[in-house]
Amino acid sequence: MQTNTYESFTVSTDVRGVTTVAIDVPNRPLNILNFEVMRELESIVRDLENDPHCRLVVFRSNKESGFLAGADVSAIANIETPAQATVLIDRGQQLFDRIDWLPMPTIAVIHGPCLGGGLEWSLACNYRIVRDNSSTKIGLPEIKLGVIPGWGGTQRLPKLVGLTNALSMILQGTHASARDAAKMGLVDRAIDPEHWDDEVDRFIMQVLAGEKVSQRSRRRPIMMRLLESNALGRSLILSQTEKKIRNKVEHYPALGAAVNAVRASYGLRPEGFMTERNEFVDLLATPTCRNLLQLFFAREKARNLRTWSEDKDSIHEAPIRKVGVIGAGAMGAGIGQLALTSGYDVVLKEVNEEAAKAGRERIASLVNKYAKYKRLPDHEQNELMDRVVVTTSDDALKTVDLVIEAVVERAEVKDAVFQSMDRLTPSHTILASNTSSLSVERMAKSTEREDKVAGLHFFNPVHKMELVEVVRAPHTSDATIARLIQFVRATGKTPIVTADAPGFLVNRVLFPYLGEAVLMVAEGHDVAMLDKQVKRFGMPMGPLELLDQVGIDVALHVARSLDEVLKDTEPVVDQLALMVDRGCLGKKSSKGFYLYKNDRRDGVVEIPHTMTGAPDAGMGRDHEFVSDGLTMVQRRLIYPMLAEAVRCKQEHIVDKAWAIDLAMVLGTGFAPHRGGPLHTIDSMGEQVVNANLRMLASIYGERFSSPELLSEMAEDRRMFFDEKRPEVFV
Amino acid sequence: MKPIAVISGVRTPFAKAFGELSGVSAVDLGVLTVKESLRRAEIGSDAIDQVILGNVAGPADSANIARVIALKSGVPQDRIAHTVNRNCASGMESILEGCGLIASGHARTIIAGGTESMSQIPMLYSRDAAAAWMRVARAKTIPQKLKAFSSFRPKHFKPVAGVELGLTDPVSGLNMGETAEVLAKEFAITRLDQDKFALDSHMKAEAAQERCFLSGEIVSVPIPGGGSLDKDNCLRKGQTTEQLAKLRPIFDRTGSVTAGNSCPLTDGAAAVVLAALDDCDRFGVAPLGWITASAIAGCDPRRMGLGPVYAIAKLLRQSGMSLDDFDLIEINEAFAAQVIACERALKSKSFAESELGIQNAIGELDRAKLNVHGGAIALGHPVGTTGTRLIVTLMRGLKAAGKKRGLASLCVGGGQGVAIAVEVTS
Repeated sequence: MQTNTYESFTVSTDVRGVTTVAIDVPNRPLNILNFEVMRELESIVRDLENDPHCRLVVFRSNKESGFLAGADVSAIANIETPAQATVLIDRGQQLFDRIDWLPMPTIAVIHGPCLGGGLEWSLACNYRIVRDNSSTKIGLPEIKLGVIPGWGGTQRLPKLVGLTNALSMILQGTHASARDAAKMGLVDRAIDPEHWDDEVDRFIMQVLAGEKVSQRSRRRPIMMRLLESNALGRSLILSQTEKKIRNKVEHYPALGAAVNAVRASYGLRPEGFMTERNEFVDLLATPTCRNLLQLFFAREKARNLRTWSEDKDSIHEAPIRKVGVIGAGAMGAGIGQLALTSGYDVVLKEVNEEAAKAGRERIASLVNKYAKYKRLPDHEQNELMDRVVVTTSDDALKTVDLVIEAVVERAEVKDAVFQSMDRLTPSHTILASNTSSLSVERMAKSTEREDKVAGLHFFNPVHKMELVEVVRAPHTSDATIARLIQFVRATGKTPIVTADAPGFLVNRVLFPYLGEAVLMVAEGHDVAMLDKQVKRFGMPMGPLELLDQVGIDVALHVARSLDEVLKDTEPVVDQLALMVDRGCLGKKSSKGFYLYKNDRRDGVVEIPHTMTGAPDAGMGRDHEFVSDGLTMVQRRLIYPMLAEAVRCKQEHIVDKAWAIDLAMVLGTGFAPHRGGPLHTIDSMGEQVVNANLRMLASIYGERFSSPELLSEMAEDRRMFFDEKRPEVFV
Repeated sequence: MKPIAVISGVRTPFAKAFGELSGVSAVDLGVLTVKESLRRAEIGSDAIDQVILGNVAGPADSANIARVIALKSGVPQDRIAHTVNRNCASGMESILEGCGLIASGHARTIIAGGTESMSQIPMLYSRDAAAAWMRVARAKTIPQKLKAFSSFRPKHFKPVAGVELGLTDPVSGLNMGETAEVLAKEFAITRLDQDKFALDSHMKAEAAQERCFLSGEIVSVPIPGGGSLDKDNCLRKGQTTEQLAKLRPIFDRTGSVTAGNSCPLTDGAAAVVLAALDDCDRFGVAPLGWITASAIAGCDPRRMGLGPVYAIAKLLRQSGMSLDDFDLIEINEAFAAQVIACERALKSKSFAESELGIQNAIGELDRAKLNVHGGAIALGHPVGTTGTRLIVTLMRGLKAAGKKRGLASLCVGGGQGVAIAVEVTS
C-alpha cells in the first residue's frame, strides 16, 4: 500500500487498486472546503486521472465529526467583485466535473454532516453510501445564506432525486436524514452503524466486481416519476413552485434564482452550469445575501466564549454538571427538558406534591415529544427520564452547580426564592433567574453571593427559540458569565450578554412596537390589516398575533414593568387592562385580538376601543416623509423598534451593534433578510430614519423622538456596519 | 481668467419631447438660433471665426452637427466648426471652449451654444438583431438568405429606446432618476419637499412667461405643416401640490422622484456670440454680460446630482469669491431632489469636511436668488442646450433686476459638475 500525504488529505491505494482519499482539514472541528483544500483536491484528482493502477476511488472523512460541513463561508463573504465570485464558482464546478468524469468508479462514504459543497462533491461521485444514525445530515443549506448551491448542486441533484425532491431540498435548505436520503434515491445505501465497516467494504467489493448495486430511480412514487419524465410535467411543477414562492422572492431573491437554475438543469449541460454560476454571482451582491452572511458570522461570534468573557479557566475549574430548576411550569419544564437532553442531570423543584405531579407529567410529555422527533429507541428515552427528578424536597438542590429560577414574576417571591437557594446550594453554585423584566440586582442583594447571581432569560417555547439573554448584574463576575455562556452553548442555544435593565434587550426593543400596535387598535385601526402590513415588511408574525401568542395578561405585566424606561405606556396599559378584564387573554383563552377555534384563527374580536374618536393623525401625510420603502402603518410600527434598538446601544444595554441585531432576529424573528434593526437603519440611511423619526414625533408625540446617537450619526454620516465586509464587526 | 463678453444670446422655445417640435430636427433648431444670434449681435455671418455647439444625442445623419448647422446658417466654408459633448453640460462646454480660444488669441468671434432634439433620438436594434440583419445582407444565394432570415427571433424586433440608454450611466448602472433617488435618501428629502420645489419652479416660470421676460430670449420656430411655436410648452399652469402628490414614483416603486418633480425630455437649441471684452466695439449692441470664472469638477457617478456642489466649491476656491457675492444663482433642475440635495450639501459642515476637504460649509443657498425665472422642471432640459440657456437667462435676469454678479451651475450625468460665474453692467 502506498500513501501520499497532503495537509488536509491522506491518499492511499491498496492491493485491490482501491484508492481512498480521506479528508481531515487541520485545526478545524469540521471539514470545510476552502482555497487550500480545493487546491489539494485538484492535484489529487489530477493524479487520479492518469493513475493506471487505480480501479476505484473512495472519498471519505478521517474526522469523526463528519464528512464535510460545506464551503468556507468567510471565503464567500470576502468576495468583493462579481469577477472574484465567478472565479470561485468556476473553480468548484470544474473540480467536481473532473471528479464526475474520472475514468474509474467513485464512491463517497459519508458519516455526520454532508452539507453544501460537501453534498455537491458527493453528487459528482458515482455512488454515495451513508451511516444511518442521527448525526448524519445531508442537505444544501445555501439558501439560508441567501445564495444557491453553485458547484453543480442545482444541476446534479434533480437528475438524482427528481425535480420535486430537488426543489424542496434546495428551496428549504433542510437536512435529510440517512434514511430519508436513501428513500428518495439521494444515496445508494444507508448502513447500520453496527455493521458500518463490513458493509462499506462489501459495497466496494460489489462495485469492483461490477455488480449492479443501485436501484435509485425506482424508489420514487410512480406518479411523480411520470410527471417529471416529460417537459410539460416539469414546467407544471416549476410554475407551481414559482407561484408558491412569489410572495417571498422580493425579500429572498435566492428562491427565484434556485428555480431558474434547476429549470436550466434540464437544458443543455453547459448552459445549466452557466445559469447556476450567473445566478450565484448575482445573488452574492444582493443586500439579502450580505445581511444573512452578517447574521451567520454574528451567530458564530455570539457562540464564542471569548466574545463575552475574558475568563477562560473557570469553565474547567467549576464545570456545570447538574442543573436545578425552581418551578416546573411551562418555562421551568422547558428549561428542564433542554438541560436534560443536552446531557445534564436535572432537578426540578416545586412547592407542593400536586404541582410536582403536574410538573412530572409536563416534563415526561416534553421528553416523549423530543424522543419521537429524534426517533430515539425506548431504552434511550428511559435513560433520559432516569436523569431527571421532580421533587418538593430541598435536599435535591444540595448537589447542583446551577439553579435556574422560573417562578412567578413577582419581586417579593423572587427575593424569597433567592434567599432559600442561597442557603441550600453549595457555595460554587450559580443562581440564575429566568425573569423577563425584573431587576436581577435586587435578587442578587438577597443572597450572600452577588458575584454568582445572573439572569438567564430563555424565550418561550424553550425548545424552539434559539436565543438566551444572559443578564449581567452589576456584581456578576466574569467567571459566572463564562460558565453560563458555556452552559448555553452546550444546550445548542445562542447567548447574548445584556445589562441588567428593565426588559433587557429583546423585550425592551419589542415592546414599543407591540405597544404602538395596541395603541393603533385602540384608535380603531383594523387588526388584520396591521398584522398584514408588518408581515409584508418581513416579520414572520404580526404584532397582534404575537400578543395573542404571548398572552395579553403577560403583555400587560411587561407593559407595567417597562413603564419607567418607556414613554407614553399609559394608554397601552389601559387598552390591555380592558381586554384582560373582558377575558380576552389571547390564544390560551380562545380570544384576544383574534378569535380562536381549535387553536386556529377564526375571525377578529370586536374589541372595545379605549380611544374612540381619535383618528390617526398621520394618515394622508405620507409625502411629508422621506421615502424609505415603508407605508405609513409600517413606519408607525417599525420605527419604534428601530429607535429603541439604537437607544439600547446608546445606553450600553448591549454594546455591540451586531449582537443587538442578532438578538432581535433570533429572539423575535425580526426580518432576517434585513439583517436586524440596526442593519435596517443602515440600509434606509441614518439621515432618513432620523428625519422620519422627527416627523413621526411631531405628529404622534415624544415617544417617537430620535435617539441622540442616531442624530449624531446622521449628522456625521456614520453607519453601524461596514457593508462591504460582513465578517468584520464594529 | 480674462473676462469674455457674451454679445448676444438667444434660444428656441423649449418643447416637450414628442410634442410640437418633434418634427423639427436638431440641425434646424440649431440653424434658427445661430442665425438669430448673429442678427441680434448685428453682425454678418462672415464675422464668425468658429462655431462650437454642444450636442449629446449625436443625430446619425449629422456626424459633426455643429459644422452642418454652421454651413446651413450661411457661415463661410473656410470657418471651422466642431461639436462638443460633456453630457448635460455640453451647452456650457461650448461656451467655455469658445472663451478659451478667444482668450488665447486663436479666434476673435465665436458662436457657441447647443442643440438637442430628444424626440428624434432613434430607437435602436439590439446587437443580436444587428448581427442577424448583417447575416441577411451578407447572404448571397436565396437558400442562404432564407437561412439568414430564419435566424430572426421575436426579441430581435423589440427596439431599444436610445433615450433610455443615453440617460443611464453605464459605470454605476443607475439611470439619472435613480441617482436622484440616491440623493433623496442620503439627504433625507421628502416627497413634499420635492413637490413643493417643483411647484415653485412652475409658478416662477409662469410668472416670468406672463411678464414676457422669457420671450425676450426666444426666437419662434416654424412648425412643418404650418404654424409656429413661440413659447416654452412644458409648463403646467395652475398645478397644485395635491395633483403632484398623486403621481407615482417612476424610478423606484417606493421612491419619491416622479415625473412631476423631475425635468421633462425636451427639444430646443440656444446660441450665443462670444468676443473678447476689449473687442466689443465692432458690434452694434452692448454686450449681454461677460464670463468671469469657471470650474469643472468630477464626483461619484451615483451621486452625479451633487456635481454643482463640487464645481461651485472649486470655483469659489479658485476665484476667492463666496456664495454671498452672487446676486442671482442658477442651478439646473434636473430633479427637485437633486437641487435640494445640493442646497443641503452646500450648507453642511460635515459634507464640506468629508467630501470637499474644507473646514467650513460653503454657505446657505438663498432661495430668493435661486432660479428666479423657474428652472428645467418647468421649462425643460434639452441636454445639449441647457448650459447655454442658463447663461443667457442668468445674464438677462441680472440686467432686468439691476444686479451685477451671477452664478450658473449644472450637474452632469456620469458624475461631473460645471459652474460659471458671470457679471453684467446694468
